[in-house]
Amino acid sequence: MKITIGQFVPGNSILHRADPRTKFVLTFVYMIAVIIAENFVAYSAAIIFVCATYLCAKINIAKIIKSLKPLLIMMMITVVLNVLFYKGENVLLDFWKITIYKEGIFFAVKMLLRIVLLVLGSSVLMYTTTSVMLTDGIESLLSPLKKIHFPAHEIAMMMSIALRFIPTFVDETDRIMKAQKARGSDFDSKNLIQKIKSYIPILIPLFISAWRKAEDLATAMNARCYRGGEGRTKFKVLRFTYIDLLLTIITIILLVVIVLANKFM
Amino acid sequence: MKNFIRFENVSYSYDDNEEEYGDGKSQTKTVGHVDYAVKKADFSIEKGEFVAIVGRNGSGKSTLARTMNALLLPTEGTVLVNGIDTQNDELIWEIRSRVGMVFQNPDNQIVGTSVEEDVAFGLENIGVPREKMLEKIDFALETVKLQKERRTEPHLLSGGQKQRCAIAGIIAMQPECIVLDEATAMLDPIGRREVINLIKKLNKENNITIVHITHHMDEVSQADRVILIDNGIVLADTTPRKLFSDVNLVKNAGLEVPQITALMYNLRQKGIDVPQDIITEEEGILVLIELLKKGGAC
Amino acid sequence: MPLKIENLSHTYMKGTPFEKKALDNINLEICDGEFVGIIGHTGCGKSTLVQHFNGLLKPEEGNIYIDGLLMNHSNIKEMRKKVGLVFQYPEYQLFESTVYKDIAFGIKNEKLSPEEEYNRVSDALNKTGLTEDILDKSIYDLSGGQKRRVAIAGIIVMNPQILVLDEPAAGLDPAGREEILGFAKKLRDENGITVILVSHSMEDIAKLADKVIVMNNGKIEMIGKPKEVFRNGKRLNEIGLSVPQMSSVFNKIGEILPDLNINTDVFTVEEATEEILRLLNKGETV
Repeated sequence: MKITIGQFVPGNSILHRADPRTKFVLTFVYMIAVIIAENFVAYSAAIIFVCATYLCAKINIAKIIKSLKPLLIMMMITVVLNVLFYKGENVLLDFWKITIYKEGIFFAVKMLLRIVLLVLGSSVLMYTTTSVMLTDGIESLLSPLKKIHFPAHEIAMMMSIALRFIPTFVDETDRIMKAQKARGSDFDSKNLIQKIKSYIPILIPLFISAWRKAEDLATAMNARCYRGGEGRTKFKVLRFTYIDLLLTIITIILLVVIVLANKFM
Repeated sequence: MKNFIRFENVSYSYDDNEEEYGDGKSQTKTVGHVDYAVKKADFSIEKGEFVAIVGRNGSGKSTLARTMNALLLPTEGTVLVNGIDTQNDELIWEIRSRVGMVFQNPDNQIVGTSVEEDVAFGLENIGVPREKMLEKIDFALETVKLQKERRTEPHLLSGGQKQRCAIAGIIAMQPECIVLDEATAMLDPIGRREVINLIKKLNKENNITIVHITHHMDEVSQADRVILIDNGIVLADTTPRKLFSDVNLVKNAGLEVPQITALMYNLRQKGIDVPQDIITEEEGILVLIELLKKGGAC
Repeated sequence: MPLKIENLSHTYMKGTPFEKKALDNINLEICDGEFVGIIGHTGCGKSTLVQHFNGLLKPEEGNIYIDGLLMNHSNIKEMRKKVGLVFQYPEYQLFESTVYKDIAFGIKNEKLSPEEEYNRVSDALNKTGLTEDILDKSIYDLSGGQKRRVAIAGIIVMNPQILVLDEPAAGLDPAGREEILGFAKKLRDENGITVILVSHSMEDIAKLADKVIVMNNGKIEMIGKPKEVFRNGKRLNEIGLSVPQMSSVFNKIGEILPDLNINTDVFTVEEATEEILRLLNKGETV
């Protein structure tokens, strides 16, 4: 099965079962650890950590790396720029107006590793957490901000409704596209302007339909006594369990290892 | 309590109200200077009744329905739900949790990302504690027979299942009345049957008042009482049997009677003495057999 | 413009755990000027089938012939013009600013003169029972029933030889229903267009169709004249369908009074009235 970046992969590993809030916070901690890592010992620790995470989540890391292809160009550019413009002491190659330093190479490799580690590590969150859990986690994490009138509940509700309607809109787009094809619309045109034009008959009905859905849904929510987040109870509760404790400890160990490696290596 | 929902001289005009829930169908008719979608409706719905409201597209029946749970407030007159005026801002949530509403488009009223989450939505809104919520959700899902689908995503349900899910979300809040605003219009015959059987059961076994808006006449014959509305005016408020026996009234309102009733009407027009208040297949068969035996056809 | 389907099969989500056979070896012939009804419960494959008629779905297995020509990759756009397909709730696909522009959308590529174009548009509009005075209106000023007819006119304007209508009366009141089906019948009777009607209403199908196709689980369960199909009330019930009420009433009378020789091929109220009168008259003359 093909995996695309950031898409949920069903499973029942301890990472799947962990509280989304824990995963959010730990992902953040992990990202800091990777960013502050300075030497290759520190990077090795992060690499081991990521590989272990994927093993634990029972997701094939080789496939994930393959799915990073769209990022390849960005990574190449980073490497080339760093190699070309980094000023160091040990000249490796001096050619025409270009000077390549040994430090430049090291730095480029570091940057590359950093990007890969950041993407791989942070996408574990997406791979092991359903979109619903993600929104719940976000709402819960942001809820302290409600005191300063930050609309945490509203944002989470909007995200969850958007997620609920994605499949409906996919079906709808398909239906409208077919209906317009039956009226002679041509979506296969090679000419870019023609192509953009040919999508107007889809976009307008789709937009109107979205509008109507929003109106209907608002009425339905109103009829079911929805009046914002205040006084609302939650059906789904998030619980901090021993799994979360375990994951937290492991991540803190990583952070400590990296800090120590930076200092003493 | 009698007079569960009481309409006192209710008129509604979309022109006067800023809040508009127009679905493009609500035609209006001019009375004086203002266009009224509902004109001087004056009747009551009693506790435990199964009332059908019928009328052609744009006759004002959906508008009328939406005044029953304060989604729309009457321009003139008063709507009382269990004695509470729907204009009363403080008790609006009280009214809405007593009178639940199922809408036409099954896709556009499900909020949750799974069946049980959607059923929970209303309960969350009225602040039911979680332990009680689980109980109520179980009860609601059992009543509409969606236990197996409780974790299913809404877009994977059939039309009939989606409407049952919407009904479950209302039952969980233990309402006294459910208003179905053309809830069967977008369903196939199987889905329609599912919904009709369910609301009949809720009416009989759980004593929930049902207001069913439809233009499927076979569904009307299931009701205790039928209100015919056209151009915003209540033309008839009677039993399905009596309504259908007035074939001309029904036809002039843009509707039709069941085939069996139309057959009786045709035979009467030909001077044959058959009763005109026949609305079900079974009754019709008995009458026809009697007629054919008497007529010496066999 | 006959339509012929040979060994047509179609599978959704092939190669995944969700694989579902939507059409299973369909063979079918529809003749010129026929009024064909397709019935079947939701998910029986009827929508998949009609989307093959104009090439919106390409046959995975099997062949489709229109007018004796095999539909293939190079002629699919031509073929699509010959078979007009009106989806459920077609009013949701309207997008132009005026009624005229929306109807004319399908013939924009034909490079017609303004008069020719106007004639085609107003002709299509008239065929759906609407008049020219709405041509300059915005589509948002129309009633639901009018919008639907404008959408259907947007297909008719392309002069299809075969018109497929998927639940054209869904959500309409009985009067609106009657009007839409009335002009479908007129298109066939007066313009000789082959009409294929997908519907859940057995009464409508019985009243209008020359030929009824019953679909079940991706297969053709029955095919024949309405009276042939609706004789199998029991089987239709098993697959989630029904028969027109009159048909059911007359069948039951026939069972209770076997000596009566009642004609049970009765679907409409008019036919039923006549049959009862016939039986009563017979009784009197004896």
